[in-house]
Amino acid sequence: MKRSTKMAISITAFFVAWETVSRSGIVNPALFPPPSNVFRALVEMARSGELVRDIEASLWRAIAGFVIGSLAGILVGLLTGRLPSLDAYISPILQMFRPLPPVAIIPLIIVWFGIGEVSKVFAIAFAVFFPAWVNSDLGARRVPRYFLWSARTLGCRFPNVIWQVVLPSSLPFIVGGLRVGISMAFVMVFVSELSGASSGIGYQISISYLAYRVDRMMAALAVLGLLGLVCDFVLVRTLQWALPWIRLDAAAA
Amino acid sequence: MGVALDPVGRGCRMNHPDAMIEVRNLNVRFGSREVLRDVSFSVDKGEFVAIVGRSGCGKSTMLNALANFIDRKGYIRIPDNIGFIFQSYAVFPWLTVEGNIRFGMRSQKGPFDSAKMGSLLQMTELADVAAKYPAELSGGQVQRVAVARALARSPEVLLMDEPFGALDAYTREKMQGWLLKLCEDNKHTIVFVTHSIEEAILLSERILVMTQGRILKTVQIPFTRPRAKAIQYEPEFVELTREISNLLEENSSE
Repeated sequence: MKRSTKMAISITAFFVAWETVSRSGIVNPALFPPPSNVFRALVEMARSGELVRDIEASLWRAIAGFVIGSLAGILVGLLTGRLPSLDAYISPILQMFRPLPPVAIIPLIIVWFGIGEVSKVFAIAFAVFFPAWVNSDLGARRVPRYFLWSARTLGCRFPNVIWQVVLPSSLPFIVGGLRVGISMAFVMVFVSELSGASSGIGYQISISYLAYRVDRMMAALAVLGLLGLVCDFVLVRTLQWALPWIRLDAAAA
Repeated sequence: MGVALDPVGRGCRMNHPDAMIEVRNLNVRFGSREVLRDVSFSVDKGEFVAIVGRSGCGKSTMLNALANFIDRKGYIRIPDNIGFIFQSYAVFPWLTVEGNIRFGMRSQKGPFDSAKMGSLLQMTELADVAAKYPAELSGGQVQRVAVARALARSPEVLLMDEPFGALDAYTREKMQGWLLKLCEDNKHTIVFVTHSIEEAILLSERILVMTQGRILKTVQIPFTRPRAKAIQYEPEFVELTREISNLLEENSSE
């Protein structure tokens, strides 16, 4: 049996079981609505225009925070990974912040930046920064010395060696960091929109909770999960297209 | 014809006017371990010198010291513009064959020299795979990319650290033939490290025999160029191989 067939069977069985349990009377359908009701709530949100508005708002925040956090993380990681003196100055401070759950700093961010877009994007960028930094730092430390020596004999010196050798050589690690980062971005989108937002998937979940509309909460959660999945898929496919050598190298290893 | 084992024993031909590389009293330590001890030798312009010795005798360290990759003490005179070819594939996996060669040409001033690119691809027999990534190539092709990339900078000296060591016997033989032809067509100054005595005799004009961080003997190769691979079966070649092998055996610490 093909993998896709197995997946289709498993997903169908999941929804059928859910629908059956919800309608059987074993559980309260208001608390545990069947998927058909969740789907109806989704259609309702789409028709009213809320869905597009919320997706747009969340996606924009996630992408902005992801791009800023990733770029900063990659840049700092490459430098701390290759420059021991800079590493000695910067890494202890970053390591102090790294164990903090990104969610815990949201109140502080709101105090500093208010409840506007800046605080949301900052919170997301903060969360994305650390996996990007850790993986880039690790990748930069693992650059084979033969690459660096070759670059040197070919006349490539600092800072060019960072962009032309250390960065591409670290990409397999960086890609891993970016994939963790994109998941973090969607966690933070949800959390940052729970308060002080007037649009976004997190906001939708929050107001549905206040209205006791579990079907809408589930619909919004499904959209958030799907958005994360689609973004990860797009990221992976884009990277595969832009960096074909990573796949070729892994296959040849 | 007798075998010319140089009695000087240290490869020294100091203050030679044609010397492209001059090394005097080179010492390298890794922690408390003395890896190279008072090594002195010179290499003439256009000369192909091979360094042979057992694993751990300091051959690769010698090349790394020449290229200034590691800390060392002593006097080394070598041109700035060197090409280095490693045993492990040090070509960049994120660049295509052409991209790797282009990387080698990047430091040259002026517009991109497409004629030079074409001639390097031709010379290294890589024109058909110019757009491929290293992961799509055979081991022999990858090493030819490394050679083409090193030559792209028109180096005055080529340092080759067991470049065919990771190849299978068939590919290794093909690459030796290819390098022989390359040396005959273009008179490069080459220092070539290998653990294969046959390879050293076949390719070089002079062999520095190393053991325990020292140059034990210098062996002048009596075969003229152009050389065919068939010389390996000549009695003189076999005799020379045996003599160097015995020399290493007698001076082995194991």
